[in-house]
Amino acid sequence: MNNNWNADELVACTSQNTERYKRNFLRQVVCELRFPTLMELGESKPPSVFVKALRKEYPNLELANEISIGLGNTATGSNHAHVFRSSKLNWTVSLKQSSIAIETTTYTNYAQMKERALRVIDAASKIIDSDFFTRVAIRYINTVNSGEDPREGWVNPELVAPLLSNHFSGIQEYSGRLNLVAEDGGCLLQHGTRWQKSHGVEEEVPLYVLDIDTYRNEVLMEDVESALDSIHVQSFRLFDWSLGPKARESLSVNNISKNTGANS
Amino acid sequence: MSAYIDNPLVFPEIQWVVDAPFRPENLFQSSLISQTGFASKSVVPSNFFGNTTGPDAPTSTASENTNFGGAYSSSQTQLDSSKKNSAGANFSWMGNDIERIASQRVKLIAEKYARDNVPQEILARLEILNHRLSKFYPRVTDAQVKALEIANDHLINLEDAHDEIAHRLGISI
Repeated sequence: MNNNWNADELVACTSQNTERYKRNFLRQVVCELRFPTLMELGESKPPSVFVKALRKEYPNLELANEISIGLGNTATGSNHAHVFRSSKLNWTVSLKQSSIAIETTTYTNYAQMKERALRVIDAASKIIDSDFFTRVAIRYINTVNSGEDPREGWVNPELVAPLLSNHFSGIQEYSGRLNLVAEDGGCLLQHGTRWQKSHGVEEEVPLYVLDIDTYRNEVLMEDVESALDSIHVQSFRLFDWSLGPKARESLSVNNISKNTGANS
Repeated sequence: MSAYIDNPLVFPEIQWVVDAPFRPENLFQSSLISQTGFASKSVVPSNFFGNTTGPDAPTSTASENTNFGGAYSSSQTQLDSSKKNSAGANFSWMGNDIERIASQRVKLIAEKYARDNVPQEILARLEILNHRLSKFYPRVTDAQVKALEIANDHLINLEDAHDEIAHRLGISI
């Protein structure tokens, strides 16, 4: 049983704020588990065992058709993805030939996410015909939409140094990508901002995206829970490092505002 | 002086190995039809950053169309999965199904060669299927190995007997 990954060492900074934040900036959170391809799962009908297990929590079922168009030597074809949605449509589970994903747009805390994910994983373990996952990942997509310029204390100055340098003007878009890779996993931070017109207002309201995708490779079924915990810890460290002091203060206040998301 | 022969020159096992290569018996198969059908609906993705493909591709959301660089033929083939019930044996539907394993393997190999970048998931499943196929349908069975060992033992015994005869007759071979 592997409870330690080399990838755990990729982010050296630790966070003192693990219990501090009451709110979050999360727009979307996805937990994806990839497994050895099973062609049957791409058929138009999902496994009845899996449907029965998820029916109560995710009563809405859709069939999505994925079409890939290849050029040159790449083949063209299509296969199906089964999408299960909760009654309020805020939680989604998708089942494909090589992956299963649990996604939410109303993330509250990690414990709830983990609990749902483990239930889905338990149901999936009966149909994927594999005792390991090739990749286990959680992706946190945060949007810092404070109504203020994110450069001014909302995002770590180290991330937005070019924007703060005053050397450049006419910036329409700014983004960066930090890809940390170890032999058994990794972490991908994609960050950036785009100046856009807000609805009905001529002023430009920039929002800053912090997209953190942390993963572990070759995870045994019995180690999945431990892997998810490890992934979450690393994601939070990277998220907390990405914030500026204003963002930390904002997340620590237990107020309800339109700019809520979470990474706690 | 009479020649003392311990063993006949030809043994049934040796003859069998020479004339009759081992053929596995055909397994009984039946098909299972999956249940439940739902309406299809296309889902449109949205992403701030461009998607990448391959093993290090970012985690894809449930609503995204993933593209691993290609797909297999769109023809829907009825897959055969079987439950084998032999006397005293109880196999899971995933287990002892040679034809099903071979069928899956062929599809995955076709998929593999149709793509430029082969996902780890396809390679992993191929490894699993190859292992199962060699386990349930080995190229060399235990019976064949045992037969060869018996034949080898006989040959060794024969050689010893010939040496003894030659020694008794005072000749060298």
